[in-house]
Amino acid sequence: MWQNAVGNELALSKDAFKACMTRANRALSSGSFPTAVLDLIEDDIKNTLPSLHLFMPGTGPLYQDLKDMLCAWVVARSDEGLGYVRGVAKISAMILLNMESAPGFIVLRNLLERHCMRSFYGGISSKDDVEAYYRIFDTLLADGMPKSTYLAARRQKNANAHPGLVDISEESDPEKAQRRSKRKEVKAKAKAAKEVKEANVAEMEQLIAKLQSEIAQRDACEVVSRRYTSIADPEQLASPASSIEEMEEPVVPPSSPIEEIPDNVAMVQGEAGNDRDGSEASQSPFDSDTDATDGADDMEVEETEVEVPGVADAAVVPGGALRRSNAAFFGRNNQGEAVILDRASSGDSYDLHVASEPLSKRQNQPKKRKAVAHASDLEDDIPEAAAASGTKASDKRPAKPVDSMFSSSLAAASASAASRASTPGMLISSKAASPIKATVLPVLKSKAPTGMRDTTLMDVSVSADTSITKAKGQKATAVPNQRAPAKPERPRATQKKRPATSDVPLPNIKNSKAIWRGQVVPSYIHFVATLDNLWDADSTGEEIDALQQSWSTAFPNHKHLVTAGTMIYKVDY
Amino acid sequence: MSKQFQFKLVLLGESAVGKSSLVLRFVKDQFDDYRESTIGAAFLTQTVSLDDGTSVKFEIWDTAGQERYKSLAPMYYRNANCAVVVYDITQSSSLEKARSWIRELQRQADPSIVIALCGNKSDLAARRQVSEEEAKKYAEEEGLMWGETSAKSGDGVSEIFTEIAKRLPKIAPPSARAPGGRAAAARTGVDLNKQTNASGEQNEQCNC
Repeated sequence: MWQNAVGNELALSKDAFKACMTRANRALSSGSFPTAVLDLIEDDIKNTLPSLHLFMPGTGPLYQDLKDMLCAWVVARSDEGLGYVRGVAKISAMILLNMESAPGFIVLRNLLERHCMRSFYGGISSKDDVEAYYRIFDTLLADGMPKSTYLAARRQKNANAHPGLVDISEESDPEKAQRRSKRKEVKAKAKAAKEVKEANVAEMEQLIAKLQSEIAQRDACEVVSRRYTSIADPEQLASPASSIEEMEEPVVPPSSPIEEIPDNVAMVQGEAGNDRDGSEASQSPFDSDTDATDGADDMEVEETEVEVPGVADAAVVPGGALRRSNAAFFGRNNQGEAVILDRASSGDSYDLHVASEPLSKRQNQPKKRKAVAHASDLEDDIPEAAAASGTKASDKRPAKPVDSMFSSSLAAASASAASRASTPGMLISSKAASPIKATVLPVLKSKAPTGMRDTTLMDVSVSADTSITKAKGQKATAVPNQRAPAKPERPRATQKKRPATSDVPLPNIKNSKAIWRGQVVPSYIHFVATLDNLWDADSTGEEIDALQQSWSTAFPNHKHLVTAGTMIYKVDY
Repeated sequence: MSKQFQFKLVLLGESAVGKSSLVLRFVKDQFDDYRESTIGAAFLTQTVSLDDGTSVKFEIWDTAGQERYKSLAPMYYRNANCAVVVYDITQSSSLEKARSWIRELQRQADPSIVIALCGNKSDLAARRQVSEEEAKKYAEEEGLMWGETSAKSGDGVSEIFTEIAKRLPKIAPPSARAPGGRAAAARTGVDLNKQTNASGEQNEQCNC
């Protein structure tokens, strides 16, 4: 079979082995066979499939065959001056396990004469070829999988974050280290090219978003003015546009596009997609009672001001302070949409349920649940979820949440219109009593009609973003990993700590996504894989503990209580 | 002056019948209650002195019984002068496996190979599934040596190897005084020449 598979392109005769063997024996007996090569062969044979004992020097039944074959191979290539290369013994051994020496020799010669093999087993003289192959590979990789190339480069940088991925090749072989550095160069080039590309894309997306928002705004104007002329506050309608304009000013193309742009894009998209149609649709039933809901807003502030240091603002669910998620963990699915890992239906990439609920905030159970509902609402606009959140809110206080949200957006909008010159971020805290501090709104790809509570908030979130960007501009040295304890009188202070990375899942934690993927998930998978029956993994006890441990190791500064969710399945069979 | 003969012995049989334990008892007179499953093969030597003043040195190839190592077995039993096929007396299925090993040896290995059938774990006679008569009858039909052993207690272990050693020199002349490599062995040993041919044929069949 192997003869047929490998073929005989070199057109070696059946006697090739015998002929080479004769020459090798002659060289061996006359002492002209280079001893260095012979020692190398012996040494390599020692390390060839040692557990089988088949090639053990002296006693192994196939030892002599292997040695003969390697000597013959060296002799056959001697006219090219290539010598022996470590590793051929392994290939020869595999061949010898399957066939006799003579046909095996033909297979070996033909196999190692092929393109890549010739380079990799060509010894020192084919070093350039090997490097060329590496370059080609890296180029293709960077071209075909830019993201993984980038991630790999980054992973190499902070190998400490991934203890499992320690690279030992550098110590072992200076030549390899050289190659590696060359590869790094190529990767860096590819990265630069990619950055340019992404910057362009981001620019385009911004433009598109702007266009979309303008269109949406126009539509909103039309609809609202037509249907609700009574409340149609022109300033309010103008506000979205103004917030966009203001926002775009601070969005300076950042120095490192890869790090920064996705956020901006997400922001713009979210704004463009959700804002307008949301506010337009939502105004109808809740166009009254601004004062009352303002009161509700104040209430919210009071409730949420009790901030616990270490709470991941991360899991910020759109929907204001009240809805700040204690429960959801953001990820992104394949389409780049924000997904909440709570949810089973979305088919997102993370199957682990991490309720990122801070230990000390558990008493706010009802809020938390509402937050979940909101999150799901955002994701696929499930009516039940909306209803749930509605009822939840209504039994909690007289004013419906939608009311409050809407009013806050009104407040924000009018405020922004009024004080257009001032920083848009400021107006929230001043006017709307800042219940909406938690509205970073990572990514919200506009999915048709999103829940209005979410969308009305977008005005505010935009301005929040702007202020953050500004703050960042002033204070570029802000360390995103450390989170200052919130000040009661100004809850938005925490908000300004914006992570410098594009890691959306857990803002305020640098590289959270990478850590999640690179540490938490693998360690949990490792745990599951060591179970006796891994189908037994359910949401009780050990599994939760393991996940908790994974989390605590990965994010020591962000304490969360992992609780059982729906995504850890017990499989009945 | 005592003559020393050197023979290659291979152990075959189903997984977990006690091949490695048998060898351990024979070579080191030890027993290990919890023995890891053999990977690939193990190689040991032991010399047996016979009454007639000769000594026989066994080069023992203790093969792995697991199915995944089956394709490697021909590498070990080619050139072997004798084979010990082990079965577990508490597992009737292991005797079936032993039968198939014997068939394979008779078909593929050297025709002059001495095959011994060995029922191990005789200390567990209470749980016996293979009767002595059944195994003995089969061995007689096939012209094999037969014996029951217990690697745990040591019963019958040295006996069966001694029996093999007694039987061997009558068939095969001493292959070599000293381990001189295959070339030397092939020059002096008539049998080994035969084996080389045999293994050649066998390998052609096996190139699947």
